[in-house]
This record gives sequence, structure tokens and C-alpha cells, in this order.
Amino acid sequence: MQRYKIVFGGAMGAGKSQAIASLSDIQVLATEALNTDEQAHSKLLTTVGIDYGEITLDADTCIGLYGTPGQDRFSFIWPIIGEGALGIIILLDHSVANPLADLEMYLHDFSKTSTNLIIGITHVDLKPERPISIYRDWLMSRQLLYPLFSIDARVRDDVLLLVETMIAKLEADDAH
Amino acid sequence: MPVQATTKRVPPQAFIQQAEASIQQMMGNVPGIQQVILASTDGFELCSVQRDSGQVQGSKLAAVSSSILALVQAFLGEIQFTGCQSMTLEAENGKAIIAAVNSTNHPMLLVITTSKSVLLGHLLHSLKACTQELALHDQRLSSI
Repeated sequence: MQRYKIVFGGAMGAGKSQAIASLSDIQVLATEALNTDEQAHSKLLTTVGIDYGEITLDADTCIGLYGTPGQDRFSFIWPIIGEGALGIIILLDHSVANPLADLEMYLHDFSKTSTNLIIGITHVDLKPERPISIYRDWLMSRQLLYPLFSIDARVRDDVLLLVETMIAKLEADDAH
Repeated sequence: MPVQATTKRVPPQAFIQQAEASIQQMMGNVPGIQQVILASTDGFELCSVQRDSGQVQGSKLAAVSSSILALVQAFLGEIQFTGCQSMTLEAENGKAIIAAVNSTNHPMLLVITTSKSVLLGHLLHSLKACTQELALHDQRLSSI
């Protein structure tokens, strides 16, 4: 069986741990601690190490799903976890004050580790008045071309779409 | 360890002051300790005491140590060991210990860096007393 690695990066509270939990065929290994920074996010727990889950796509392919802590003070761990990954899925919370600043920061950091990046926008329903087009417009203004989707991290098929897009993109790149 | 839902997530300043005193006492009892950092389990430095200047930046060490502790606790869970208390890392030019402070109200960790010549048994004994004292301080101050 071939084993691959996909990393989930992105902002605190964007849904990285949830996305892995939604997709994983095994019980997720989580490294969570009490969140004492309520100003950054009100949630009770936050990832401080890695999350680990697995999905078996077919009889020959198993993918390890690695979640990263989102806060900047854990940025030292991002390239370590990203080493050897097929690609990186960056999740962004659409409902935060400045999601484009998050997009810029996580693209800047994770693009040093991998060029195969997929962007997932979560919590779109919490800020319906803000158009999704802002992300595509931002990318195009910088001549960046990454697959971008609006997803619900709680929905397995949404997260699976990101993984399948990554694999399809790799296959297309290999064919060229 | 479950956290009390009604407790403020950051320990009070009075606790930090008492923690510094406990840490100072441990450093006085154990020759060879270079730096002690008390951090929250989500990687924030709460206080830092160092013997000399020029030690490692506490905020960075707090974040790294919290990741390490969380990963080790997850590993221990997988092999069905319970209650990670401490881990000792030995390098050519010194030692480092990361120890959990098992406080119900504010889970924390201690990071200690030492010279290579520190007496490990003496250090671990003093460390255990210090972490227990910190947990008691936290429990007492959080109930006020």
C-alpha cells in the first residue's frame, strides 16, 4: 500500500482539527490544550502539537492527515510537519475580521514548504454579507493560482473534495 | 485533566508571584539550574527565572515546550500510559526537563534547563515538590 501525507494549515478556529476528524477513517490523535488566549478565539481547546488521522482512498492508497496549530507562535512546527507532504490544505475562517491578512500570512509561510496548496474557506454562513470573491480577487491581483473552495469542515464530502483536488492537481502536473 | 468551566483561563497575578517564589527556592536548592520557565499548556510564558543573562527567549521556549509535552502525552496515551509527569532531555552540554503542573484550574508546564553536571536525582526530587506546590497555590488562589 502506498502511503502519503497531507497537511492542514491555517488560522486558529478555521476548522483544521474538525476537517481531519470529519475525514479520518481512524480515531484522530489530537494534541489539544486549554486555550488561554480568548481574545484570539473563544474556543475552549486549541491544537498545540499535531492532529493525526488517516483516510484510505482505495486498496492501494492511504493518506495520513496532519493538522497543525494555527497560532503564529507555533510557526516553528509548520515546516517540520510539512516535510514530505503531498501538499498543504490551508483553511481560512471567513467570519474573522481580516481573512485576507490570514490568507497572506499562511500562503507566505506554507509556500516555503510546498507549492501544492489548496485553499478552503470555512464559516461562510457566519458572514454572508462578505463575498467569497474577495479571495479569488486577492489571488489574481498577485497572479497566484490556487484551487479555492468554500467548505464546511464538518462535512466529510467537502473536506474530501479538497483532498481529491490536491491529488488530481498533482496527477495533472505530473502528466505535464 | 478537566478544567473547571467557571475559572478564568489565565492564572491570577498573585499566583504568578507565588510561582516565582517557589521557582526561586528550587533554583536555590539545586545547583546547576540555569533557567526555569513556567508556561500555560497552550504555549504562553507565564514567568521566567534565570540565573544569568543571555538565556533562551522564554516565549519561544514556552511554545515549543507545550508542543513537545502535548505530543509526548499523546504518545503515552497510545501506549496506554497515564499521567505524563516529566521528560528529561540530555544533550552534550546540558539537560532540559519539561514537567507538567497538574493543576485542575490552570494546566501548566515547567521548563528547566541545567548544566550537564546537575545531580538529576536531586533535581527531580525538588522539581516534584515545586510542581506540587504550584498546583496547590493555583488551587488556593483560584478558589478565592
